[in-house]
Amino acid sequence: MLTNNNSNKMFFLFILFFSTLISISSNSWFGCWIGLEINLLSFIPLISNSKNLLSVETSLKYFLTQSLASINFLFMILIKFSLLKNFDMNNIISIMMNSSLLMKMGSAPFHFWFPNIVEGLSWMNNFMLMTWQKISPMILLSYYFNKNFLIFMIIMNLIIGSLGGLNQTSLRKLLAFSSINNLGWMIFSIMISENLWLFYFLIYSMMIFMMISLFFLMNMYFMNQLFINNMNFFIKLNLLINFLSLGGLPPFMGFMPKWIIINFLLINKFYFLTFIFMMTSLIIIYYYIRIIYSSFMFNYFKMKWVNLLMKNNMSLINLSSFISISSMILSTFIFM
Amino acid sequence: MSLLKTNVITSVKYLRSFSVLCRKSNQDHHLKKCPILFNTQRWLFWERHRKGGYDTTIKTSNWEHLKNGLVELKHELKLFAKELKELYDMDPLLIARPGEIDLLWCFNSPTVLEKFVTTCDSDHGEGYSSCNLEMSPAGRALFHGYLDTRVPKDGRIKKAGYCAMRSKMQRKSFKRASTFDWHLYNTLVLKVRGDGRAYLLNISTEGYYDITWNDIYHYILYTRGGPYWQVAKIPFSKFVLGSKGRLQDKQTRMRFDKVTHFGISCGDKIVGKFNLEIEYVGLEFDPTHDEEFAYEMYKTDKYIVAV
Repeated sequence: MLTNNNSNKMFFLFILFFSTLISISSNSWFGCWIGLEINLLSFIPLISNSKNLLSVETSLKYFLTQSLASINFLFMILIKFSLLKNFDMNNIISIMMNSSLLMKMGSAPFHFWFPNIVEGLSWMNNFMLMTWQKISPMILLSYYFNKNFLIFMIIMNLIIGSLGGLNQTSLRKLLAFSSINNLGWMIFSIMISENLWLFYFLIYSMMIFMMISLFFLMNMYFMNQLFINNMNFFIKLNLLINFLSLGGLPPFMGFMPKWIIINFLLINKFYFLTFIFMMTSLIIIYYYIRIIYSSFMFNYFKMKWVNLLMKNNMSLINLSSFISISSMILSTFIFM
Repeated sequence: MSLLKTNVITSVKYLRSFSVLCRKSNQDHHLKKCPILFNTQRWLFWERHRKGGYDTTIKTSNWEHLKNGLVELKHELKLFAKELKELYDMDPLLIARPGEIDLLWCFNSPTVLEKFVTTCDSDHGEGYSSCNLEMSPAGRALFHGYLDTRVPKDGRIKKAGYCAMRSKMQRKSFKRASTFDWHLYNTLVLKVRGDGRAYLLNISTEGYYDITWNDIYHYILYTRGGPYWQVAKIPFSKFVLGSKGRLQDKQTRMRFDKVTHFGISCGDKIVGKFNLEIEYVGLEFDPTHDEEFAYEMYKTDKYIVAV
């Protein structure tokens, strides 16, 4: 990709989109695997930018981990076909297939590649990695999952996502660990119903999009950039609202999907799991608030010559704040 | 050796073989290939060894290894406990205040010198230079030696004459390799007292894969010869990328989050003594410096491949 055209990107985005559809709509496991492979092949050119040594290394690491997971998946599919185990749900083959799909998603305990790679990508590529790339493994997971194994994985995801983000100074790694935590919520939601998962996923994607677009517009990659830039009050307010929304605090938008999932948790009598969900959410909100109060209240230094005015983009920021605050109330009007 | 393909320039000799029994000269000409000159060329990018094939291991027996390991165990456990405590504190350095220099190495005691390694071309028989890193009479580190550009006459190398000092690999507890994290900073600060020669500052960011193992970012530091100290503040945007000493056509910005080594070398082809006194090497965040990268990469036509 010597010229870095938009037409190249559009071509690969198109194939990326279709690969997910191939994967989730195929009537054979082999078709699912084909979709996953095409997904990998079309994502790699989007992230490898030959002008930057770091992105080359990142794309190579991504390729190695994802292809390893694909190999595992294919092997387990073939074993399943050969042993004719089409209807057993809770056995070793389902564990192996689930493990390979969890590795594709970046879920714990196969998450070690995820913060590393997220650190090497630009914000828009990160958005693709955190949202679109999770769709097909998640739906394939729902076709053949092992309930006990997945509950254990959910617990690991929640704990690692919350504790891993505590010592981070890079915004990308922070969002990576937050994504791992949210994967825990998403895996539980897909065990309940696909509709519920879709609801959680759409709202999560919207929240992540608002966060990432804010960081992208301000070209922020590290936490020190939050403090040294002379930000407008409305930008800081938007940051506060979006972070708290991502953490799942009412009355913001992010509370609603978590509320509904807790409802289903309690209906199914998963009391201990509910406790872990709540406690890890608190840890996550702790580190979001730590970032926000530093940027709001502590005035490290105000530099007069670096002024982030952002007059042209304020409408997007104000719109995203409005959506985050009011969508809980507005959603009640939809179901009237 | 099988990976290096040798290009052999041949000269042909015709040999006549005589058969003693029949006393006839054999008319068959035997062609023998006598190699005169070997030029080794690399045909692969793959690096087998991190150190480029130079054997730098000190051979010790297993029993010695065990004894050394037990002696270091206590120290490593203390380091591990310190790391766990840092993790528990959850208080990473979030900001570097402008105007403050965070020192990496302050050369005011001989213990700091152990963190550096000096190399020169005479170490592996590739030249006649010599160098040393020790404390100067003024109480600072002195990197000094003699640079000699004479080439040893065994035909292996074409050019000689370099001396370098480089920091050792940053280690976590139990000798795990770690890296420097300089994302908070954008300027390197050095307080040196040179002798008028030009030294090369090298920042190495060895990545995970072997393609980038030899990528070093260089900057030429011109020193003044006087008795006064000079403080050199060099932004990271001015460093230029080279791989195995060769400046690359496609220049990219340095990555700050995984820096492995820092070094200073002398290789300015001037035969003679060199002395460089260093007081400290530090980092600074300069908010007024907003240049991302000093070297512009032009958009070229598609048939120009290297850039």
